[in-house]
Amino acid sequence: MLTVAQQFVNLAERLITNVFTLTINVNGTVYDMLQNGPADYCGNILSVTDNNNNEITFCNPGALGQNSRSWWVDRGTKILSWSMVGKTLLVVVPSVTASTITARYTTLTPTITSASNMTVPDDTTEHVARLTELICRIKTRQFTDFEAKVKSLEADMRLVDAMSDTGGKAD
Amino acid sequence: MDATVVSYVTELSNGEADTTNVLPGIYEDVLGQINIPPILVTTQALSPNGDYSVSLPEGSISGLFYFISNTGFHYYQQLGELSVREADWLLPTWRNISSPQNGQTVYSFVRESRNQRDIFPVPASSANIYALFTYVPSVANNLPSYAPTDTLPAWLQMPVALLCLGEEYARESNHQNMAMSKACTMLGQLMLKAVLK
Repeated sequence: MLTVAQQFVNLAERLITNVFTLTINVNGTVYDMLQNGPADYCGNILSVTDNNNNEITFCNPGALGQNSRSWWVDRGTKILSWSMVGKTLLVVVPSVTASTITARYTTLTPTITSASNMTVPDDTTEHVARLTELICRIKTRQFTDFEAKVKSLEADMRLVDAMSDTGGKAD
Repeated sequence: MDATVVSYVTELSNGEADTTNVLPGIYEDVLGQINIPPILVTTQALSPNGDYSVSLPEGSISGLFYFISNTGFHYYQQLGELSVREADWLLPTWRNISSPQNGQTVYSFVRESRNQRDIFPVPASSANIYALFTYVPSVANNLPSYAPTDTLPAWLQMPVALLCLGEEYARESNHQNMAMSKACTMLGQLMLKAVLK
């Protein structure tokens, strides 16, 4: 339960991130992160850069068709934007021959085997403990002040503020 | 059905939840509900029906984007969307139109039911149609061909297990417990917020 709690605190606060490189497919612009992404992909891509390390602009998925109705298979000479359809499909338009992209993502934190194995920063371990306590309270059927504890944790986990960290780019 | 979700449900319910007969239905229901803001999305080629409409496969929840590659087009283009009323107003005979009219270059689809779309104008029989849609991973061994896997990503397992427990304890049974149901749902929604944020 500690492992699960740490994963969700990390996801909520975007604490530990990693990068992966993806080779651009010239025949399409859509990549399934569950198949093409890294094994520790945790549902959130924060930013994408091209092979010259230039930032690629985030695009709302609904706007993809406004730029080009053939965005699914568009080819070009420079990658212009990226988007996420749901949490599993990464879209990079247009496709460019012999190119790669680098994406930054929130990682799935490893299994906790000892206290020294916790990977989130010390100032958030309290959140991990509180979330673990809530899960354990489900198992032991202790619901006194449960709602207040959930709301308090939600506020403290900065779920509301995380967007400001990226200027809303990845949200 | 995801084995880790089943083990979470069994563990947190202390074995009370019926994971054989009841949980599969609840699991599908929960995944259908949480996938309304799209989370699990995949893509698949669709075969036109006899009336040139296309249907999303079983297990799909909602179509997000449709693409067509038709005779005369060298690339796939995204279909625009029309309501039935808009299509009727635009051209009352729209169901019989088989080629773009008056310089129209964009194909559209008309939403007539949750999973069925009529393509307008009617495409050639050789047209290729693809859809991006949200889906529920299989609950049994009849895994649809489009589903990458019947397991859920690790970042969805606990929220789904908690939301399943919320429904399990809300239904009429010898272990019905509304306080437990409310707590599970509340905690499941909190964890789901972390995923959706």
